[in-house]
Amino acid sequence: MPRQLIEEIKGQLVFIRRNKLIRAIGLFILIILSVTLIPSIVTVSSETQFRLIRKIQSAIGNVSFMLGMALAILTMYYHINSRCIKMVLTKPCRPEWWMLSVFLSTALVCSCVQFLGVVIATTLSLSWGIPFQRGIVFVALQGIARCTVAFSWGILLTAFLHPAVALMIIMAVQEKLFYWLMATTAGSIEGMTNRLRRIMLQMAQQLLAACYMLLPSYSPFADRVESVHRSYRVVTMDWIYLAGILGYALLFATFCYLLTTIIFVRRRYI
Amino acid sequence: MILEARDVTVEFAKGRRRQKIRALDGFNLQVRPGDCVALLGRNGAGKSTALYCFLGLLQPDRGSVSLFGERPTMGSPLFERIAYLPEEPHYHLYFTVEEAIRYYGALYRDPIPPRRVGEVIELVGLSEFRDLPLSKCSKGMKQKAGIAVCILKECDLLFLDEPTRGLDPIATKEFRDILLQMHRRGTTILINSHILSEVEMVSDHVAIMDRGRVLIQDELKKLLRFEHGFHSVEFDACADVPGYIAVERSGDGVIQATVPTGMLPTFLSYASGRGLAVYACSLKRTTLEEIFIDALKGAGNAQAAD
Repeated sequence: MPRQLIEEIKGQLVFIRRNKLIRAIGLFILIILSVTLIPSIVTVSSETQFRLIRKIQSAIGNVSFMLGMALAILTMYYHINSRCIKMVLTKPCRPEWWMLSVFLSTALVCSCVQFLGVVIATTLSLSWGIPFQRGIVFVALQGIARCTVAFSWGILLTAFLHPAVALMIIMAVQEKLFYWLMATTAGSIEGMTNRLRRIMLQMAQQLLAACYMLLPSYSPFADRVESVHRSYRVVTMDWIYLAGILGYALLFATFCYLLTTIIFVRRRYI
Repeated sequence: MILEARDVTVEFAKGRRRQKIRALDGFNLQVRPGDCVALLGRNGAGKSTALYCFLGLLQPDRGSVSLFGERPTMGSPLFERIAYLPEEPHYHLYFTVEEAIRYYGALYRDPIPPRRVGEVIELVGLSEFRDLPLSKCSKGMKQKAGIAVCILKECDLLFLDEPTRGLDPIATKEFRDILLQMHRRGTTILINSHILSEVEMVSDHVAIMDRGRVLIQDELKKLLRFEHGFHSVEFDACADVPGYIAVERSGDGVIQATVPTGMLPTFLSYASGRGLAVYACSLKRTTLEEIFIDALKGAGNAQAAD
């Protein structure tokens, strides 16, 4: 790993640490978490301890997901909009490294939050006398994959869209929506007697299918590994699915990285 | 040539109708090693666009640009030999002064020693403010930080976009001294400035631009020639000035004027006869301002030049 890349990552981490908006988002999430989880921890009974651990890790996973997305969008927007990227691009440091530093620093922060989830879940498990479950690590790793897909998508969109538009697309245009639309359209086609309308609906279904295929999946194989989230018990097959989930996240992140770099290099920084 | 632009055209699409605007239109510039070239022009003449092309931040639509014989691209290894001071302080404002200089220095292949970072901070007079975030620095302080980044590493080519913008007179003088020192050591400098007096003091070549193309490019000493037929004079104000004296400016009891060299003895006897003190009398020299205005008039910008 070149020294410049490490310096870039350090620089990005300073940005993340000092950005007031990121701090505000972090503080807000922390307050929400405290308000919802602390009373549960105080009033927990031996029957609900395990459920609470799952709830805490799930909440921290969601924090990591939202934070990753916010970091991706804010980092890209700040550096491009304030034009300070010019100072980096006029140094002997490839733009590819800078872009990679955005991906890696965001991944690092998300992983740290997920790791925090593992530490809290493990500590609570041990302190309440519940044996350590490998599912805690499994859920964290799956969470990292989910964050990677989300922030990669965010970085790609912010490379050529306004961050508000990018955020709206991330929030609204999700594969779940298109899956639901596809299912609804398929149901409508079944009951349609008018030939012309039927053809139009079939065309719409094809279009929706294309969108569904193109959009990123935040939780691939979610239905296959659902039992791990419920019981924290992991069988060999689950690890195989996890490898698939991580592989998909890595592949999608690589695709986003390459595409974002192409867009980034072709931009005019004036 | 260390830097060359041939028939460069750059177009931007602006407005709702994406109307095309030509920022550079057949732009040509050649800079030899060791030259200090000032790029002059009105606002919107295309000076900064030309600079961005040289820095690889903008790829021309037509024509070619070369730096050290190579096409500049973002982050190219060529930047090991190049320093750049932007017009606006587009720095990473979340860093402190010292962190920013160290960060930019760390982007070079060979790391800059921390001792050197301290030296340049001291040299530009920011020692007291080294821990101040750039976001809280004044425009002048940011400019000084930019200058510190430029001198952090020995470079062969220096790009300056409005370098003294926001600097106080003392800082301007200190910066000019640094520039002259670098120039003496053989650094090639391309300076983009509106301040003609500053350009006269620093550069040895001038390129005057208008509407995206270079109108004149020559050595400054050739352009700032003496006009052997005229003398510039400065004397006490009086009521009836003879017709052969062309008054250029008058005020505070002093007249600045031009006198044909042949009429100089007549003028001197006129002044002594009336008891008028003559403060200055020298062979008239064309000023950069006159050259600049003449060049623009020649290019059909009479109204703008007036």
